[in-house]
Amino acid sequence: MMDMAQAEQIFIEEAQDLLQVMETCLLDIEGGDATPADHIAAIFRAAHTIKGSAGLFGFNTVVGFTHSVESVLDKVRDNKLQMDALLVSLLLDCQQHMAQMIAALSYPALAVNAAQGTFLLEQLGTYLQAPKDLAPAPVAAQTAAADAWSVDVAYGLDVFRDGMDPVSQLSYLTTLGTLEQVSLQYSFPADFDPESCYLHLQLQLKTGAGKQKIEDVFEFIQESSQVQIKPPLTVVEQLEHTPLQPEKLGQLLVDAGAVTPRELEQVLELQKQQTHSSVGELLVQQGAVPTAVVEAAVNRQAHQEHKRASDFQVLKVEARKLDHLIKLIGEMVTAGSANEMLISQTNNEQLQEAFSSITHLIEQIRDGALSLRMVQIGESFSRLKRIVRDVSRELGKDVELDVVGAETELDKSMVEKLSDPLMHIVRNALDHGIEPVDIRTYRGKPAQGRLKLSAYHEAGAVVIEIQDDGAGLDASRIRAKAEEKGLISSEQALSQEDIYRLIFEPGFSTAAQVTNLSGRGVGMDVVKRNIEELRGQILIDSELGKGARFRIRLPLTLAIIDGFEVTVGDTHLVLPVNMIQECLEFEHAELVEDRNYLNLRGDVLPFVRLRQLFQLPQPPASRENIVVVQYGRSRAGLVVDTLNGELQAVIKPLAPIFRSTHGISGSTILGSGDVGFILDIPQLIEYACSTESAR
Amino acid sequence: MAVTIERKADFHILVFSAELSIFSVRDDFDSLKTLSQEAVSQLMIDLSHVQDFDSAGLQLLLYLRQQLQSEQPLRWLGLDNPVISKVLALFRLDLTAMEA
Amino acid sequence: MNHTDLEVNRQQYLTFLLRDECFGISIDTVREIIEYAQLTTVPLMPDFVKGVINLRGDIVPVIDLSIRLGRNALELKNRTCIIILEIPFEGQRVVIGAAVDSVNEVLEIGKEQVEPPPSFGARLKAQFIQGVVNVEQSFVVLLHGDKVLSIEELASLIENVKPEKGRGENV
Repeated sequence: MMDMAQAEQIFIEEAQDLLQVMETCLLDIEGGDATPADHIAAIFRAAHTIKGSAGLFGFNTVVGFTHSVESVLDKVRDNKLQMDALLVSLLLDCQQHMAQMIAALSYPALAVNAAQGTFLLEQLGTYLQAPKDLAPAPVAAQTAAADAWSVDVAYGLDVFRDGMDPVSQLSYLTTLGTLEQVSLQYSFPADFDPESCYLHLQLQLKTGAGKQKIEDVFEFIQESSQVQIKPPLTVVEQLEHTPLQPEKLGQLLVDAGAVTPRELEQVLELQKQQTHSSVGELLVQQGAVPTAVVEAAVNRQAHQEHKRASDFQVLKVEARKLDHLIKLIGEMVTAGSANEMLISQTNNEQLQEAFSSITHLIEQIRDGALSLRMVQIGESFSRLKRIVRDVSRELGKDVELDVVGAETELDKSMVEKLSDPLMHIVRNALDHGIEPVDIRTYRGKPAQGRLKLSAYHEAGAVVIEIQDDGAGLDASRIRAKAEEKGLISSEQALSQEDIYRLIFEPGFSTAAQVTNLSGRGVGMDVVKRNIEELRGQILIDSELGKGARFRIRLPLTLAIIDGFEVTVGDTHLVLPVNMIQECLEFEHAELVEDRNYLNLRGDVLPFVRLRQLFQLPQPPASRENIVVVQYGRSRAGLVVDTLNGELQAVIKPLAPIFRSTHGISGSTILGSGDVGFILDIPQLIEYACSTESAR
Repeated sequence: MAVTIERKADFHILVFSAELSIFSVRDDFDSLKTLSQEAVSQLMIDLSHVQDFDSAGLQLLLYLRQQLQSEQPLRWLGLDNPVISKVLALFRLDLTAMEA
Repeated sequence: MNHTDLEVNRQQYLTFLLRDECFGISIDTVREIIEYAQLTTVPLMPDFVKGVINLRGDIVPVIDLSIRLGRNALELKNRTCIIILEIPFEGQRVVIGAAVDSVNEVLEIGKEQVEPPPSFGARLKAQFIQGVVNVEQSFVVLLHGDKVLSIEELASLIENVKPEKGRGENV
């Protein structure tokens, strides 16, 4: 049995997911890249579900607020309201307010802005008092009371002649419950026939009776008239809360008393002819149930399927369990390669063959397990969409956001840690990068600024780029400011790239500049630190007046990599295979003037002696090899002793005391049981350059 | 026995008989048709004798009100007749009210 | 004094030798003792980091406790061994090894036997010492395992020591 706190936690997580859906849909509608009908339905469902579940837990403020949001959305859905820019904007504010309320449930210390809530409710209120001209035919003007059935009978012309009398039907209904909002409408034609019936009856009935009972009242006029009996909203809620077997939608509705078996039969009959329509659609079409009921049932049904293991769309698993599984699979990979090594020494071909199929399976299991931890970066990107929208409005700038590669996957733990740095860079680009419209126009740029977010895989790493077409970084101004702040001296010679990197220095950006943006008073130095904590790198390209590009390069992490093992002395090193271009014997003769450059078929190749760089004690081996690695646009040679071949390396994070290693991103256990170190090539090269320039 | 039309002072009084239902509405309606040919100043509708009243009868009254009220204000007699008042209450109708 | 008080007031210590000095460490933090073998050197580390070992699939760093306590580096002999400890760090227990010359025994020591650390003469940072106890006419210095092997402190030592050393040797 799940305890209440756990259930609440699940509610909060679900609500947060739904709020995310709302936000994404609203932003899509705002951006014009959406089919509104689908999105509006999705937004409505999200609000509706949040309201329903919040009610279960007695979170009344959430229920109250969300109810108003839902009511407005309902009108939009029924085409009584236009989803215009103003309304989208209001709904986005409401979404934010709801997110605040939900967040406050787990962290009561977070204050919810009550004034904002009241303000938003007032705004929503103006939409709820729908102006007359927008309201369609008055027939539908009736609003359903929450707990009453709504009965709508358009009597057929022959009702009186058939001996039927609405009066007696009405008086019978009074025996079932209380009648409310009874309204008799009529429209008489010019050739009025007193024996024909022109009546149209609408009423609300509060009753404990089921639909069948109500329908029985109108049993004999079913043929001649149009009778619609809609269940009260309470039934909708009941539907959402009744425990269900995996059932068909129709049966679900019948059980809840929202539809009678006869109606269902009719619709099923109809469905045979209109195979493209769903039972739900047809029921709505027939007026048997309002859309909300069918949706509630569909949701319920989806929810039900959700709980059936075979149909999982999304399965939430405790991260701990997953980590444990991945650790075990890591062990299996290691044990597998140890076995493979031993088996290869036996010269038993049958055994080798048999084991190779196990190796193949292990590889598949490994890939499958690892993909479990991978998530698409799109989620982070859509959060950035919101920031771009809000900040550009705040700043009065017109910015178009372009997202590429939202489906690129990376480790979930990284996605979480990335969101802050990404947010900072994006805000920075909006604030300092993209110019105000008048300046852009003056400079002959399109008035609308462009911000491009892209993600892609490159050589065993994930690269995320944030590119703007703004003013770019002004190296001379950055330099001047850094000198003024005493970060560098005026004599110090720095490359363009080095100057750009100064913006990451602690103390470069003053708190005053960033508080307004981030609200936390942190600057770009934190961004760099966060990225480095993820063992990533951040690079800046910029062209003054044209724009700037921040590139964040992150390892795929956690994982197991396809590595290439080399040794230097008795130190085992593993390089990511996809960064290796070629391996060759190290010929001292090809050295360029005894410098650390090599003539590689006419090209100059800088190289690093790993023994020297890593200060390994053993004397150089008599025969050395050079591994040519390529990363991004750079190429370098690494001088090692022996080349030991490819392997699958399970990355084990380095112990916490080794948090500041250079060029090593992790460790692994080799088939022999030895420990190997996994090299982070770009970091290694960067370190090599820095020790060289320090000399 | 359909509706009878009495003339008293300035009033035309439409007196419905005991039956105002699907069985009488055709006749009632026919008798009323003559009314439109007369110059009618003020109309009074007397329901006090009605003993059988159904939806068809109600519909006829509603039709009358719609047809006649624009020309003259309608006055009603016998709205307190329980046969009538019960049905009007069921439908939450007030015949004296101007039609919306 | 009742039974429970007795238990609370008595603690077990693992005693070990660094050259001719005897130290003790609470067995609460000790996971196991393994022989000194198959160490892999970690590039660019200060001297007190001996390397890492593969402990049944976990990669565990090993510290030269002698250097850490301000003495000369250990000389490897056949009795040299590694004490595997679990040190609390950021809400987790981090596994780390401490290389010592030899392990003696497990002693049960009552609180009343423990004397406060001497103000001088121990050639140790006062914060490392929990107390001193006299066992069979010789002194055993009881160490605070989580202070001597503080993950945070070791990490910052590595962070600070290495670049200077790196440059120095490269010249």
